[in-house]
Amino acid sequence: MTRLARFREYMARMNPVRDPEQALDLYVEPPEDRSADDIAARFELEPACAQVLVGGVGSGKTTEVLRAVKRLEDANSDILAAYIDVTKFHKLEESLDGVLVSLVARAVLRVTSAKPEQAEQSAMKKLRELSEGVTEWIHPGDSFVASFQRSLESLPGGQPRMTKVTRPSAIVPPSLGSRFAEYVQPLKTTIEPFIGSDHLVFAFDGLDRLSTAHFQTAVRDDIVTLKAAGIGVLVVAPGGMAFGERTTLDLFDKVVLRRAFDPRVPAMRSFLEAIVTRRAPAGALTSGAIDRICRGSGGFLRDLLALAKDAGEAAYVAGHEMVEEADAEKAVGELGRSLAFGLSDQEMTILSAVAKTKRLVVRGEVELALIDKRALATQRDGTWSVHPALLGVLTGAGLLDLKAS
Amino acid sequence: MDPTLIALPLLAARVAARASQPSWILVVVHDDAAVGRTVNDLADELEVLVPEGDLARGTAPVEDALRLAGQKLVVVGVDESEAPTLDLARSRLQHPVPVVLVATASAAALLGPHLRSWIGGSIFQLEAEVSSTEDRLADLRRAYGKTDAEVIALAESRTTPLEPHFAEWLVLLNRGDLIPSGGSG
Repeated sequence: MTRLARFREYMARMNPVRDPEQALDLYVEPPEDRSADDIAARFELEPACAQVLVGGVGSGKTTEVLRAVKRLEDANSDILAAYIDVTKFHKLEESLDGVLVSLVARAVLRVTSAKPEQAEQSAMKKLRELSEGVTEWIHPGDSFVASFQRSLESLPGGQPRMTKVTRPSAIVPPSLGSRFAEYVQPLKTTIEPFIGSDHLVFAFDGLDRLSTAHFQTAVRDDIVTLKAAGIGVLVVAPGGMAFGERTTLDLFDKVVLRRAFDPRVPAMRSFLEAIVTRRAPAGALTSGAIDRICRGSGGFLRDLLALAKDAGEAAYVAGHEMVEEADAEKAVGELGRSLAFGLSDQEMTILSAVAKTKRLVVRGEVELALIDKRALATQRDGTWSVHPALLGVLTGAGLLDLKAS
Repeated sequence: MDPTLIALPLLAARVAARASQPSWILVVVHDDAAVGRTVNDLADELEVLVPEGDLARGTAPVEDALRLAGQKLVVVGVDESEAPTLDLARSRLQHPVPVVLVATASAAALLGPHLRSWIGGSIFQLEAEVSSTEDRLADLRRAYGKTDAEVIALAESRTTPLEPHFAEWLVLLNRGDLIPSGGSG
């Protein structure tokens, strides 16, 4: 194999931007914090519960959700689980009211029996109207078109006898307010003949893109409705949720927090090294490069793979046969500068304080933003740390004073 | 803190090296006027490095540019109104090959944490944006392995390749008179 072919293979295997679903075969079991197993076990014990997976950007949440769903599917249990990336069906820029209920309704309607009983037909019609929208001819006296009356009466030639009215699907963009409660019974009626005594679990990914403040109001009514219909729900939430107000978190029966894997802890370090070596072709990296990549990643899995990939690129450009420690050092420096780009004075003050004290008090949006952009990470012992790549760049440039005051 | 400085030819080479993989790169420029110029300059560089037809010069919005580009590598500008919206659309922005975003520092600062995590360490500022004429000449000498005298000799013999950098090179040497009429070749 030529040098170019070797490096191409290396780059392809280290890609941190690929679809996590395609990378499950490269999965490495973590030493602890097996979020997928925790989530699946809780659904096995309590199928109709609501769980939320909270974690920073690039901490591997999607992989854990996919694994949880796979475990539920493989367990030969009485649970039917489905994974839905909400962002592939609905624009998050639009209102989220009713969207989770609509997506469940749409999924259920696609798999329920072809010849439903009359009660089911009625329930399915109601769900279909919510999830797909409806167009129908209605007599002008119907209250639904009352708002059109004045304009209809002003038409030349008098009033038409019937009016075509279209109500759009809730999914783009719904505005359903507090009407979700009426969908609980239709959901139950439609699901029951299909699943019998089995249980349904839906895992909703993608909602971690919302700001913490937006997430808190976006999903509340949907979660309540689905729980009331006996459907298990898993939602992926932004990292700041774990440190903000509790009202929305209290809706959930279980909160699973996904942390970075602290590379200073030997077991975590071994886990991070295993991820790199599992993907890398044999002999592609020196041990010094692997060590530098693991330390520089701060234990964020996406950063780990991005550093390995960028180090590979640096090695190729430098004419090296293997990825060397100097290549890894270059990649860590570039990641640090990227993380430092755009930091405000207020954020620098907070980073400086955390670097000295290893403590953080989340007072508001500024701290939450630093968590969201993984400049700060909480460790399993409750301490906080600055991302090591960022810390290295800031201290190297004399922008961060680490002396305790 | 400023992003990592990089010469345009080296940036193009790094983007081209990633051409078969998904990858996101952010290039930060000084002002709005530089966005379009940098999109074109980088695309010009990439055109000679990637197979013909594999490159798209996008125009905002980014989501539309990616949809229109299909399987092509994309260089596209992003402004302050669009930058904060991209995080919510991130799943729809998955692209099989590299996407290079060009933005001012103020627009780049509005990119959300999810897209920033895709970009990772690949935030760059072009050396030409901060360098003097002499620095730029040094970039060109390094990139092409030629001296100023050799480029002047090439131009005088009218064998200057059809390459915009050679025209730029001659202009920086105050020898724009050697650029053949009707183009740089």
